Amino acid sequence: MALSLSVTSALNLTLEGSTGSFSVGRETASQQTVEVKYFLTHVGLNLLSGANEELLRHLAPVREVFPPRDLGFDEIMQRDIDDARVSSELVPYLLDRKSRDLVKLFPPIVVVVMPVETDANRPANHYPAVTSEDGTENGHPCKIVRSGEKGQEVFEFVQPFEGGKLYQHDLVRLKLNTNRCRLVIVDGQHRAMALLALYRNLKQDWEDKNKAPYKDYYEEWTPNYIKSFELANISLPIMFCTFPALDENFSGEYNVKMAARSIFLTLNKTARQVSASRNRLLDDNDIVALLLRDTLSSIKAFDDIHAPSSLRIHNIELDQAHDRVKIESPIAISGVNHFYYMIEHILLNRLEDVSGAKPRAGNYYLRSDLTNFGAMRRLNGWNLLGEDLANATNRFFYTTGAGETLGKEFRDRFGKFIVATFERFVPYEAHTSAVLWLDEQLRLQANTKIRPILFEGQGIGRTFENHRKHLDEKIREKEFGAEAPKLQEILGRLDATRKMVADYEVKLKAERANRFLAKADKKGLRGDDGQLYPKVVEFITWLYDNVLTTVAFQTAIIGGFFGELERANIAREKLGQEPLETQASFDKFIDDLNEFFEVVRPNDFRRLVEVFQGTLGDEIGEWKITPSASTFKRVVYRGEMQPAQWPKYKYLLLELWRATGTDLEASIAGERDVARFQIFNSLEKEYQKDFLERNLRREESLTTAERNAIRTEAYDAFCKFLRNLGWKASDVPTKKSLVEAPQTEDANAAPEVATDDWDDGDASSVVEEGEA
Amino acid sequence: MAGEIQKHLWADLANAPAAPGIYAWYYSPQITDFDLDRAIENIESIRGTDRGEAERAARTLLDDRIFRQFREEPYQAVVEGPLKPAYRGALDHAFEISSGLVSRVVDHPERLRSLRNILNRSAPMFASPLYIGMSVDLRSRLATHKSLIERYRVARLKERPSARNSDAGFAWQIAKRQISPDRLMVFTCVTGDDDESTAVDIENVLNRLYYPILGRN
Repeated sequence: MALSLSVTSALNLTLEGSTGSFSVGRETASQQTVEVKYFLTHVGLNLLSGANEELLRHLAPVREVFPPRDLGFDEIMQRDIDDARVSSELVPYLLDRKSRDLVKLFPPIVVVVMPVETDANRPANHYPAVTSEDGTENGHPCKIVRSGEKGQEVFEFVQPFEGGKLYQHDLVRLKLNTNRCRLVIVDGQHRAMALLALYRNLKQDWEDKNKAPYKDYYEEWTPNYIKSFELANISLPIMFCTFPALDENFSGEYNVKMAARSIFLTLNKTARQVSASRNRLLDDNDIVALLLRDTLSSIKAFDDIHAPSSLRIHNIELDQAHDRVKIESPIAISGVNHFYYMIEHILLNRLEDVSGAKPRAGNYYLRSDLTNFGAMRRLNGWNLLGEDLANATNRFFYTTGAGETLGKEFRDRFGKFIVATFERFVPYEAHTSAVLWLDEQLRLQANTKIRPILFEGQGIGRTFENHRKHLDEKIREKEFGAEAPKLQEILGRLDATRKMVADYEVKLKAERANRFLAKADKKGLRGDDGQLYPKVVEFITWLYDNVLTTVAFQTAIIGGFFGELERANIAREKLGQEPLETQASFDKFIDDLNEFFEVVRPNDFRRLVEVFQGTLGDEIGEWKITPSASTFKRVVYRGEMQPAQWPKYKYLLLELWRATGTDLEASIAGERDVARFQIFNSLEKEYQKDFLERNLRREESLTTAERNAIRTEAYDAFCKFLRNLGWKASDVPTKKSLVEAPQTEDANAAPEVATDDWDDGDASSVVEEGEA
Repeated sequence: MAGEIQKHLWADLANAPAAPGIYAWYYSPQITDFDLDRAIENIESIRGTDRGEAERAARTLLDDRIFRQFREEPYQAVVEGPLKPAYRGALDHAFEISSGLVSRVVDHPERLRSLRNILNRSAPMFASPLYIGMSVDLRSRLATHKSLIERYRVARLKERPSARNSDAGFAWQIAKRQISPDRLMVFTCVTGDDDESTAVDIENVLNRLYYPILGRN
């Protein structure tokens, strides 16, 4: 007798609703549109409906579905959640506490049914094969679209038909296998979180380690309080998207992850809440963003105890709030916008855009042609891609293969040196190693409150503080009535947590200063207890906040190095010589910079202070600062530092980068001289302007003696500035040589370059906000 | 007194002298590593079974990657005589790749590497200039050339320059022929004479001697 074996379906979640379709694709011109088959239903807190509860159990924000630490940068599909805003604005809106009698409208939560790899919790590129067949459901004829063989399905659409016509409304079923797919929210993550927070508070369902760090933000919504509302009426529309064409038989370059990112960006294009940094992390249509992610991935790969340096991805701020370019996270040393700006400038600058210390010229965000602006040459793109593909490739239009090829070349030629800068430049190494020290301290204490705030998720520290403020306001306004004493207790806990976070930040800064000054003499900078004087720590903190972590300074280091190397190599190419070896040049460059920043003697420290703040008195501990005319701020740049002024810092670094005994020495000296002439010329003008204002005089009335006196005063300040940067008196240029410059130009005016406004790029504008 | 002749690559045109003088653009033909490897591999794999197809592949490579950029624009010709019919129209450049060259490439595809290496270094010693011009400010004029070339590359030939503007005409031809700007170089010579007409005369003579491929004359 034959055995009658039947295969049991693995689909474990059935939903009822309507279906339809639309298209998504990376470029209309590329004909790469893909059909999105969607399913529309609703989810709510009426827990008498089994489907609601089942769906709420499987629905989660992306940070819980795919923890960021497990994802690559090309797999990011969402931004972080602002739990403070969810708790203070969306939960009350959902509960109808304040908006009773008003129309309440939410667009649908958009969810992508994401296949996962069979052996890991990672998004897969394609679905198992999708088939379409006729069948029956409850005795009614229907069309069944299924991904995966029976017993191993990912999803199944069951769409009844009658008289050859498919039903699109009400009677359609979407069945999911939640073991082989994840429900990834690509839009509406905040409103979904509001619903989930209420559900989890009702069910006390916060135990999972990926959920637990966020529990505190919703504590004020106690089960008793929630139950006082008409929960059965709380329901939100939700749409599930699948891409049946993107199955394992798909031959193009597109995949489900790219489709999900594309939907996210399309839906959020006009939403101002998505930061520029997050847009850049998600943007598949800008090769600069691609190279940015590639570089960040190299850093992410260091997340291992055997990593050769202390640099970790938590040192890079991934979601910069309000698109400010100033770093906010205390553990970060750089940010996404910093890296984007640096890479854009390495790849797309022209020699004429940067002249000496002048602000750089040009509109980089408009630069789309990779050949016009040198990117193809720098990446050897013609030889790697071939002429036809190279001609068809530009910043905003490139194939996946071209992106990968250029990305690999970028990593070898530039990316690894960007990363190495953050590993080897002494101040950055001091910071990253101090952060690892803090991480270890918190782990040793098994601190479950502070560590997530500082280390988990980008911007969580900012969110925590917002949450504390919102709760404080609510209590003062007596919004919760009888629940208030309990809330007062929660607020007390939050205040205590805030104080602990602040204390750890202070410890981090002290440890960082210790490491920065690790080679310094024991005497001079420390008190009898062996601790650094508080004012010393304060200065080092100031230096990080206002100089070392700025876009301008970091672009000066990285853009400055590659710019000068290229300048020298172009000269060599014209003479038929081989290009200089990047690694050897970089090693010398970093060593030269470290020689100045690595403090050994108290006098090294004095020079550092004088370059950035003023003249330090005899006793460092007393911290008596006399204003100096020879600081960077007085000599080089007197305005507010903007990213485009990065050549001012490049000039400072050119004074430190001597490249002595190398083939770069003469070229560096030449560019240093150009910058010195510009700086001195501007300085002299400034002194003259100041003299005229003080004495209520006009320029034409100045006598020769007065002009000479002004010049000498400017020269003395400049001379002392150079001495503080380590030049011997005999190496400082004479006043005569500076005055007789072949071409005196103002260091404050950008070079005159042909306009590139005609370039038809479509990148979002580059952040140019003040930093200092 | 004339200054020395200076070489400038596309990336450092900004270093050209800001002085009166003459200049000449040159182009180093390019066969990329990618195209070269693929062509050699292709010819080697098919020449034993289909020599005609291998010859077509060799001809395509030579034409697409080398000769196309140098093809002349059609002449507008008029033939007429007294009391005779008149004929007028475009005369296309009848260009033929030598069959001997094609045959030798098919026999020894690796020869393409030597050809490529020499072509890489052929300008200016073995090359005709693309364009000869003069300017009272060489740096500024070359910056204009550069800007126009960049512009027409991005505009993808959607804009067409005025026939009278020879700078724009040159830039448009560079974009049309898909000549990579990175392969262009310029030689400048300061004329050292305040009288602008000196440079005009030199430019006039040089153009009549060397017939630059994309020149105005």
